[in-house]
Amino acid sequence: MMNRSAFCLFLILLLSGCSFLPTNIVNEIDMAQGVGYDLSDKTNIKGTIVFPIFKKDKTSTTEVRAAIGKSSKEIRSILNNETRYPLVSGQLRVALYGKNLAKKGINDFVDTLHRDPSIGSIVQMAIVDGNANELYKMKKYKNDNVSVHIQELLEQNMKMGLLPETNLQSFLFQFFQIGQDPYLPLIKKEAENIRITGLAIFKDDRYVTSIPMKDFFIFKALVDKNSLGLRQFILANRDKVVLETINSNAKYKVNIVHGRPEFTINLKLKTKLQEFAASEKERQAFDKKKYQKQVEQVLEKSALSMVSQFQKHRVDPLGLGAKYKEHFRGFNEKQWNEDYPNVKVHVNADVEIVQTGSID
Amino acid sequence: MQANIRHQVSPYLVFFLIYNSQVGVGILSFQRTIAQKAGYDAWIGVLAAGCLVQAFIWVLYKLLGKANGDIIDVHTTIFGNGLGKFLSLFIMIYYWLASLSVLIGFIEIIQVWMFPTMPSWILSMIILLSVYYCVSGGFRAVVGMSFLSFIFPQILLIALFIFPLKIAHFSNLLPIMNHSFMDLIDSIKSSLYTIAGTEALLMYYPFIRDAKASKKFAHLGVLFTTLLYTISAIVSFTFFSEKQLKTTIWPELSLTKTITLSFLERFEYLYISMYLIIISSLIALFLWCSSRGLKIIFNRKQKHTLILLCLLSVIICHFDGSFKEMLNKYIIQMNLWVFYCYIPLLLLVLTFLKRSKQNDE
Amino acid sequence: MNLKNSDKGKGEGSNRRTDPIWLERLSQSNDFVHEHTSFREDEPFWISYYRTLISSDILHKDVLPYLQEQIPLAELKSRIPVQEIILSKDTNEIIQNILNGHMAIQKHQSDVECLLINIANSKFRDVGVPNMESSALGPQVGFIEELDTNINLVRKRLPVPELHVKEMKVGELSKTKVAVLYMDGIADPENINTVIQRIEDIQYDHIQDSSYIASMIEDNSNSLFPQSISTERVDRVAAGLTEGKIIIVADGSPNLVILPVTLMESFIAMEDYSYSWIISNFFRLLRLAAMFISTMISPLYVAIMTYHYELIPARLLETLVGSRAAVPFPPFLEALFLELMIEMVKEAGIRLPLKIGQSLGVVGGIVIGQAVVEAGLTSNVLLILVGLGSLASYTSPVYKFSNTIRFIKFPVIFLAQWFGLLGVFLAFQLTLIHLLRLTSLGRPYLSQYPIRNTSFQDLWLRLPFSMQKENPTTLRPQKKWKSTGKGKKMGPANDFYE
Repeated sequence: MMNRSAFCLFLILLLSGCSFLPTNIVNEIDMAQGVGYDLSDKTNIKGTIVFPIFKKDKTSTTEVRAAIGKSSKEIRSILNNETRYPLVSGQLRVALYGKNLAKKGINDFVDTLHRDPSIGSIVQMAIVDGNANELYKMKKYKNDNVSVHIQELLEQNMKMGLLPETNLQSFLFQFFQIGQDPYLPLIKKEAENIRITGLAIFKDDRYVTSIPMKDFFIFKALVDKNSLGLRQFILANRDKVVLETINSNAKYKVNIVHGRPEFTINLKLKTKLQEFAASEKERQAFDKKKYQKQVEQVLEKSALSMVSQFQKHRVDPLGLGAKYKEHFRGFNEKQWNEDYPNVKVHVNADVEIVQTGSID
Repeated sequence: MQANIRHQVSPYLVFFLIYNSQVGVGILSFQRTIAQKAGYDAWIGVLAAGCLVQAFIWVLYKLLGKANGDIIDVHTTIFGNGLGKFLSLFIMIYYWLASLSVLIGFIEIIQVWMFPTMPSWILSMIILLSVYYCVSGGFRAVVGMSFLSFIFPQILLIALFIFPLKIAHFSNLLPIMNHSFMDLIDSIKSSLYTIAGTEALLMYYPFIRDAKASKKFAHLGVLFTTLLYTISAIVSFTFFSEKQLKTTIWPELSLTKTITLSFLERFEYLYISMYLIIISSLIALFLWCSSRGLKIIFNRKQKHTLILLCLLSVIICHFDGSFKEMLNKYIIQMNLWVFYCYIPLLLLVLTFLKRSKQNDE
Repeated sequence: MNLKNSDKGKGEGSNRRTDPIWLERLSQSNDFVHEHTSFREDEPFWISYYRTLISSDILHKDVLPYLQEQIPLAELKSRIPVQEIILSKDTNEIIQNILNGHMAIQKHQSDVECLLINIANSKFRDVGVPNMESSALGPQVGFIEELDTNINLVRKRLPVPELHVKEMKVGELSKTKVAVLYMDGIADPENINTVIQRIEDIQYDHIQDSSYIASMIEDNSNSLFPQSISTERVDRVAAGLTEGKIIIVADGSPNLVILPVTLMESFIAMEDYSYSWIISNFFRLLRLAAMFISTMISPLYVAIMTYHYELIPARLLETLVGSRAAVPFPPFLEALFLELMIEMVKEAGIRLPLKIGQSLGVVGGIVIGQAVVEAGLTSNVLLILVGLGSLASYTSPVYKFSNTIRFIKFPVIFLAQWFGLLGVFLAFQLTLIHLLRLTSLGRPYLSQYPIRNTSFQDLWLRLPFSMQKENPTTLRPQKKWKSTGKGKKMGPANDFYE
């Protein structure tokens, strides 16, 4: 009995000592949902933090605060001086980087996202063609949650649209992968709207070039498994065909010819005809075989021109180097970097139109 | 010396005991250590280490079956009472240190991921209190916790492997066998400690009813954990690129970060909290072994030896710093030499002894 | 009535001879009657009884008419048409029987020997519907406060000689009749002996209810979990007996105690057997889930709201944080306050007179809850969660277990406040260890461990009757099979009905 009471006393002492554990009560913290970084001048960074303010029985409003500093955590501690509650980053949804900053490299800013265990790995990242701060500050989104808006805008386009899947995890994966360079969506403030305008392609952590919307279809088909998406093809004799992908599969084959790699990309697409406008005005049945052939040619051509653009900029978002490394034991990174711009790439598209809708 | 039949457990429970003794904090971080040298071929090393452990189980059963008792009986038969107990003492200390390294590892995870300011001594105290409660319930309660920790959290946590598969890059594993033999040996060596733990059998063997029949369950248990470790290694290898993995301290936890459900995000917090149960049952098993051994060696009550060990653990957890690294380094060496070299030798000696005794008769 | 005043009779007697000891002791109470049956001294029948215990109807109709002639007591015994008549000289036996509603008949006042006739007035309510354990289907018979009726109800369901009844008297003052029921040849003799031994060892003044006995013979009286089931359902008792369980009946208690039990049995309703096995499995698992919801939901709220805001998905954030925005207290106090309030409403609902209780329970719950949310003292999300949790605690068909669930969430809330999610799982772990250590009559209480084949047949799940063939092995029954069609499937073999 003596033992037991001593034990209880001890337990009470132990537990009462624990109340100094710092709490993060949900309505007593300011949860940063979006961060943005822009180049302010040569050495300084302008950081923006967006957090919602919740009111009872009212829709939340968004607070956008900006400060100038040298590192992201410095900016946060500066901003902490002007917020009501402590700023925490566990609910971070979006990280935006200004294009000018991205040109200098974003590694320092990604590192903190990667390091902080309270930040999830499904944070969406994007490059802003312009200024991240301005994008966040748009009046239209004052009473809307701008960070969640951007996150959902990007996510729905990745899921149903043409944007290839990216987030913090995929960025880190590609960044650390030997023989691959990361890519992120490029967004822009256009006529009081936030729009996806392209895809930013990086060399390591530096922004190098971008690809336009029209190349998204082929790019997504080349990098994502089972990508969905819609694309219009204007064919040789001005026939318009709009196809929607049901199923896609890209296989990379590496052949070594005279000690140099040659790539063959076999792209298989199963598609559904969405719209068809023949140049001749009279109604005719859809000739599957003929159009499949023509669409394949268009796809191959645009894929090749895209790859040659990458080679020109010495960037490798398709991960050709990684594929080469998988198939060739004597892979040498340096040698590969030299070889890359002149590597031969063939694309074989195999488009199958499986459904033509309810009419033929 | 066989334990009282009332305290013995069914043979099939050895499966869960083996599983529980092998799975600890190691599974959250071993992917990085094994890939240090052997790169993404290291999963082969895990499989190879699993085969070694199977052989080790065979040795253990041969040894304990011959002695028909625990390691202390083995030692006293070979070396006599005094020296035998002295040698057993080292093994008991190993059990305690192993439980301590698990405890320290788990506390570090909690401090990094959940409560950076929570003092170590409070965490070690609450874990050890529940461990004490469990061990004081006897071996049945210890086995029960092993069993329940498998049924409840582990099965659930295995199910989490499905989520990252959606974005897995299986081609990461290619080309297979791209590393030298020596690199692979190194990955086997570092895997061996992560899947160590079967040595607890040396103490609980007398508590298994119909111990011979339990052998197949022990092998099955090792097979299961080997597969668990291999799958976990492969899932991490396909999820992270190689350099990324080398920067990640707890790949398994970083991996669960990506899981989102409509009502819950950030599974790693839940994961770590549930892991408390797995960790506690592992510590309970090892502390049971250690305290029981000390009880026999020093002829004291198990309650007293257990309290002593718990108190020592709390005190050591309080002093952080270089001790932890040192502990891990020594314990890996100790595990390797004692259990993979010394125990097979012991089997040889015992066989020889028994044979010569038979010849004399 | 030709009866003399008792005082007078007593006075006359004491002048001449000494009274027997029992008469001396019993006549201290005013409701004790000691009279002479006739005016004639040569027909001296002295009768004594407690006025408050006997039925005057039986006394006048069946006993008094036979006391007119003077005949020996032994002959009288065979004449009187009452069932229980004993001829006794034993003082203790006489006192006991008179106290239980017998009347004593003496030839002379000083005779020690007397005839004891049971004319007890047993006023009990009729056998009725089980109040606390109601069910939509199945038998609607509940036990009442009388031992014999209760045993009668059980015997009707199991008319076999193997149903043994061992009766005992427990309680220094209450002298409660306690019966132990078991099926000979099924129940483990070790269990039977343990129960009988433990009941005999009870040293306590009064036993008001079978629960007294249940908690006195429990293995671990410090546990929150009931290690026996108290039931008022006849079907539950009869089914338990056939599986080798032991039943304790106490006189004056409508609840019978079933021993030994496992945790999962608290989730079994007898109604389960009235439905298709698929449906009843669903309900059984639902009850299990309800227990988790009830104990975990407010602690999880406290843990997540206090420490782990990261876990909340973006879309839920606005709902959760918005509802808490104006609340001045930390989630811990908020949850504790609301939980206590709900418990108070419940408790008041039980204690208050039936009619007031019903209306107050509903009104109290809704009005106070609404007002508290309006005033901004708690968030309405928590109100929903707490309401759900308290509702869920009543899904267990065993009332004692519901109360365990009601209580257990409070320590968990504290742990959640101290250690967040870790604390919730620490509580879970401690409960698991506790359950592992707990035994009921020396048998493991946590049926999940060690796994037994029979647990799948009818414990965690309920398989169709054709697949429930064995009695649960955790009870070590003497009879292995429930169904005589041992290995074979019952019913027609389905070969497309050719």
